[in-house]
Formats: sequence, C-alpha cells, structure tokens
Amino acid sequence: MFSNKRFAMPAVLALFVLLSAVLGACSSKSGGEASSSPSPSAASPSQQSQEPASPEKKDPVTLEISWWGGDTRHAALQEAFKLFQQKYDWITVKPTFSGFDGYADKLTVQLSTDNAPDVFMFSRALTQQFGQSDVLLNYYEHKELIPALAELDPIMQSPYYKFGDKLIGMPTGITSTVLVYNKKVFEEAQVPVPTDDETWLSLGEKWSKVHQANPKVFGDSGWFYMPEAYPLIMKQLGAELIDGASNPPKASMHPDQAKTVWTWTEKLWEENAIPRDSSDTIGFDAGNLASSLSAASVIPSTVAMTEDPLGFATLPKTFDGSGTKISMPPVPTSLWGIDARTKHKEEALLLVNFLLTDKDAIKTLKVETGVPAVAESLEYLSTEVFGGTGVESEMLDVVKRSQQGADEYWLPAQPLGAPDANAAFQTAFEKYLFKQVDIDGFLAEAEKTMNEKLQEAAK
Amino acid sequence: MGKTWKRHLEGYLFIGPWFIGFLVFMLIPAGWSLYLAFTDFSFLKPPVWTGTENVRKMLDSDVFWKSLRITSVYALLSVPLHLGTALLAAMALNVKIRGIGFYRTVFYLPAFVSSSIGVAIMWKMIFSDSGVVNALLTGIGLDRVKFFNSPDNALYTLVGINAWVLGTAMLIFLAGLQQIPRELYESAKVDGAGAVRRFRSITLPLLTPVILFNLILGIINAMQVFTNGFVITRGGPAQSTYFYVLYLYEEAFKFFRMGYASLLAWVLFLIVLLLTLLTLRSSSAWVFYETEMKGGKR
Repeated sequence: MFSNKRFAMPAVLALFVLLSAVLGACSSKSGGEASSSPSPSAASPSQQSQEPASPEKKDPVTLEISWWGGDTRHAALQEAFKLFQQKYDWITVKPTFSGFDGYADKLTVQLSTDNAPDVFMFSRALTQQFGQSDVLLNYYEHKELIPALAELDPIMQSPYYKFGDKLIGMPTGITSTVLVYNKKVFEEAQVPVPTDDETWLSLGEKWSKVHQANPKVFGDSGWFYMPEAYPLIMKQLGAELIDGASNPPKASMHPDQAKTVWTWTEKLWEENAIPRDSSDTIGFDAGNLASSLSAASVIPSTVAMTEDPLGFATLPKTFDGSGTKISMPPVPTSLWGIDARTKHKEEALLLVNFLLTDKDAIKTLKVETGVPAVAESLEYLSTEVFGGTGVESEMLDVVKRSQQGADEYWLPAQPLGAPDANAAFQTAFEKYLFKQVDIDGFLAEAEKTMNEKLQEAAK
Repeated sequence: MGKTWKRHLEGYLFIGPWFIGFLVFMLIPAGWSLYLAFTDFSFLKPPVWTGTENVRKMLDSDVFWKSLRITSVYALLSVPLHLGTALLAAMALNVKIRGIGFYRTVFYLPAFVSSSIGVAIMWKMIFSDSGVVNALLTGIGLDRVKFFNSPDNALYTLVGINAWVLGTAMLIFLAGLQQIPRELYESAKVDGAGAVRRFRSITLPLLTPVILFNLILGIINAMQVFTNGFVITRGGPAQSTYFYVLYLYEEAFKFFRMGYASLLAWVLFLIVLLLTLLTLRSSSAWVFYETEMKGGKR
C-alpha cells in the first residue's frame, strides 16, 4: 500500500487528522430522542387558566434541565420534578445541578456549542449577554403555552428579563433588597428599630446612636456593599448614574449629589457607625451588627445564623425626606431559560409553567428560588403553606411591602456594557475606600472608565 | 507492505493515541485560539475578524498593565522565596535518620493539594480577620492584621502562602543533593571548611543545574497564578491581587470577550517563553555542570 517511505508519514498523519476531525464532530449534540412534535393548541375553556394545553401526541420525551444552588434548593427542585413527572407521565426530567461558581461559564459554553440543557436556570446578570444571540427561546412567541406569562408580563419589563422585545427569562422567584436588623441590639441601645418610613439620613442617625451606646456594635455592615444601593440613593437625589437612553449610553457621576452621599458616609465612617472596609469579624452571628442591607431571598439563611430576633424593613425611599419617594421593583432571583434549539419546546414550556403555578410545586419549592413571582402562588404559599407565620412569611411580607408606598418604581439602566461599567465603578470606588484617591479622583476615574466601557460595548 | 513500513506503522500506532489527544486537545484548540485572538467573539455569536483591534485595546488598557505588574511582582517575590524554602527543606531532609521517608512524604504532601479550592479556603480562614493567626496576635496583645482586607498586605500574604507549597521543588532539590559526591564534602572537611563554606563552595555550585530547572518551573507557575487570587481575594481589595490569569479569566467568562481573552493567553505564553529563554541564556553565567571544564566542554 504505502510502500514508498516518503508517503508513509504524511499518510498516517492524515489518518490521524481525519480521526480527530471525526471525533470532534462526534462531540456535538446528538439528535437524542425523536421529537414529540406536537402541534401547538390553545387552552380549552375547561382547563384551568394557569394550565396550558397538553401536547396531543405523547411520545416519551426526556427534558434536560440544569440549575445552581445549595443542597436544600437541589432537593426541593428534584422533588418538584418528581411531581411534574407524575403529572405528565410521558416526560422524564434529567437534572444536572451544581454550585454557583463555574455554572454560568459552563452554561455559556454549552449554549455556544449547542450542548445546552433544554431548560436551565440563569442569572439576571446574563440576560443582556444571552439576549444578543438567538439561542434562547422568546417566551412571547409561545404565550399560549405559558399562561403565567399574562400575569407576570407587567413586572417583566426590565432588562433583567428582556433583551429588546424578546422575553428570554421567566422567574420562579423574585427578591428585593431590604434592611435586616437585630431587634435585641436596637433594644439594648434604646434606639427605635428601623421602619419602612426611614430616610437614609434618619437611618444613619440610628446607626450612629447604636454605635455610641455600645462601641463594640456597628450600626451597619456598609450600605455600599450592596451594588443596587448607590444608584438608588443617587436616583432619590435626582441623579441617574447611567443614561441608557442616550446613544451611546452615558455615565455621569453628578458630583453635587455624589458628594452629598459620600460626605454623609464619610461622617458615618469617622464615627465608626459603619466600618470603612469590610471585616468578617462583624456580623449578626457575632452579635455585633445592628443592621445590614440584604437580598430578601437570603433571609432564612441569615436568621439561621443567630439566636437573636431579627426584624425586616424596606429600604428608605428618600435620602432626606424630600422629593419623590423612589423604590426598586423586585428583581428575579432565578430565571428559567429555554434553549431555542430544543426539540421539546412545548414540554419545556410546560415545565416552566408548572414551576411557576402548580400548587404542589409551590409547596415543595417554598422560598428556595426566592419569593414566588406569580401573585396567586405567593398568596397560596403565604397563607396556606406558612399560615402567615414564621420567617418565610416575614420574608414574603417584606418583599410585598417593598412594592408599596413609593411614588415611583425605578431600576438602573442596563445597556450593553453595563456589567463592565459597574465593574469599572467598583474599581474606582475601592481606590477611594482604601484612601488611594480622594473623592474627586474617584468620581473622575469612575466617570471616565465607565464611559469607556459603555462606548466600547456600543461599538 | 515492506518490513520497514510495518515497523513504522507499529510505532505510529503506539504514538497514535497520544498524537490524536495532542491534536484534538492541544494543537487544534491552540491554533483556533490564535485565530480568535484577532476576532470579536462573545461565545454566542460567530467570531468577527477585527485584525489588530484587540492588540490596540490591550496596549491601551490600564488593567492589562496593572495585572501584568502585579503578577510580575508576585513572581519576583514568590519564586526566590519558594526556591529558598524548598532548598532549606531538602537540605533538612537530606540526612540519614530513622523514619526519614515518612518526613519526606509529609513535606511532599502539600504538593498534591496545593492548587485546590479547599486549600485556598483553608488559607482564607486562617488569615481572615477572625482567623487563627489574628486570634493568636490578639491573644498576645497585638492588633489584628488585615491580611487580605488591605491593599497593602493582600499580595504579600499570597506570596507567603505560596511558600508552603514546596513539595515538588523540594523533591527535585533532594535528588540533586543526593547526586553530589560525598567525597567532596569529606575532602573539604579535611581542609577545614565549615558548613557555610561547604554549602557555598560545593552544594550551591553543584546544585545550579537543579536550581535552573526549578527556577524555570517556578517562573512558569508564578506567571500563571490564579487559584488563590480567585478564591481568596477575588483580585481585590482595590485590584491589589488582580493577577494576569484572573484578568484573562474574567475577560473570557465574566464579560465573554473570548477573542480578547485568547489574545491575553497568547501574550502570556510569549512572556513566559521569553522569560524562559532569558533564564536559559543567563544560565551559562551561573550554572555549573560537572562535565564542564574551563575553556570548553570535556
């Protein structure tokens, strides 16, 4: 065959290259099972409003699904999928789950190589990134198969769910940033506990008083560690950090308002009412923290840290009591996306709708993926499951209260490049925090670097 | 089919599995990443050729230069410290005492787990504000030290932590030490040389080939430092531990700029290659091989 020695090596190499190419080709997603390919059908009048029409043809289907979380979330979701399989017995759910670290990387690579699960949880931070391509299913094109959408649509008008006109994420859970406080610490300091009517100034005064009463206790762990807090305070003072409507989007630091916020904070730092740099020696578990800004979704785990009684209040709606009362609407804790290339779209939609609305699923999931986004599910969980008592009920209640009493509900603009711009802001801020630059240096660098990132993304 | 070809075929078949693996998992991805380095590629859309745009962006980026500077400082400090501790440990273990095998194993063990997440978390707990070290400091009346929570300390704390992982370098030093002929030490002793003189005039020169080898490995590893910066400090505070590979990782997997990240990977490769070549080039001035004689090789 290859008697000529000169051709031997190239020929064998060519064979290897061919083998490699074949092996590489084999790694792409295989066809899997035959699609059930049921034709879409509208819900019959006899069916419950929140339940979509079931696909007519019921060939066995396996849905791959992935999510991140801790042990209790994993257990709850797996239990919910068992219930789903019992209800829709031709569908098998094949779950893959992990912790948060590395989850997004893996999912993105899976999506880019057409190896993604049919249904997957994704972070709201990725909505704009994922939305740029057509790899996620647009829920608006399948309204009839996901009745929960009609109810949720009004709250899903933010860039956390949508990219342009496409709705690519459905939330099983939502959360709000709230104020968690230690009742005992306030009581011992004889300072009234924070209420839903605080301003940032009045809250700061309470932090100072608590620290004055007991210098070992800090009023707050540092409001600036919650990324949503600063844009909200600035908005309450009439300034928006990112103007998403201009082209390209523009970041402005608004020095007057910014200096109002940081002068106030500098005073709190000087008084030691809040620590300037984070310290793991301060916390509810150590009993030396009066209050902390926190996502409501982590309230159950925060409560488990301490035996002291904790209370919950909404974030201040104004800086000093003047101007429009502004709050942020809840944000999704867990979004479910569907691979646009899946052969089992209808089953996937069925599953998402099940997680959002089925009472048994709600009862099983409880608050593992946040506060139920669908009002009816929230009501059911609050009254029927928790009976209006317990920490979970308080969590549901404070998220509900976060949606009340404001004149305006506002979310920061999320144009392309916003995550980059926010990271640039954080870098500039840390230099100020660690006294490497003064306030003017911080604001100048933040504005310059944020705009660079926004302009770059707009290109 | 001739005998020669048959013999070659057998050879090719033996190296085949490795060659296919090399091709599929190394050469093709490396070639592909070289192409991506000159594209705008965000994973979910096909790459778009942008020529030298990524290069311009990289050279203009303050973060690129900053991460390179931080990584260089880290390498400059951690490599000598690492080699020094490994050499000391190897010399301490180069003795004939009962149970020496056990001690050598114990010293080598950290090498197995050195880059694991678990170990990084352990260090984080030990040196945190409420960790063991600070508990000891406050126990003897000293102030707490913000090992990781201060931009002035974080990098040096990570350098110190790296010194703990001395297993592999130590083992190579130990092998080198055992190759040094005993009679040289005996002759030196007879001539009245003390321990320091014997170390300076015999151990160190004869160990230079091994030092060179460990130095190159040390530079390569230090320039790729990632785990501790990622797990313990997340590059902070104030980007004081924002290592080059962490920058590369975030560009790829946080901001999904895979094209730009590919360029960063290639630049790192070139930097490490350059450092390795410079080290090898410098070796003629300070590395002594036993087979060498003044005026040329024997």
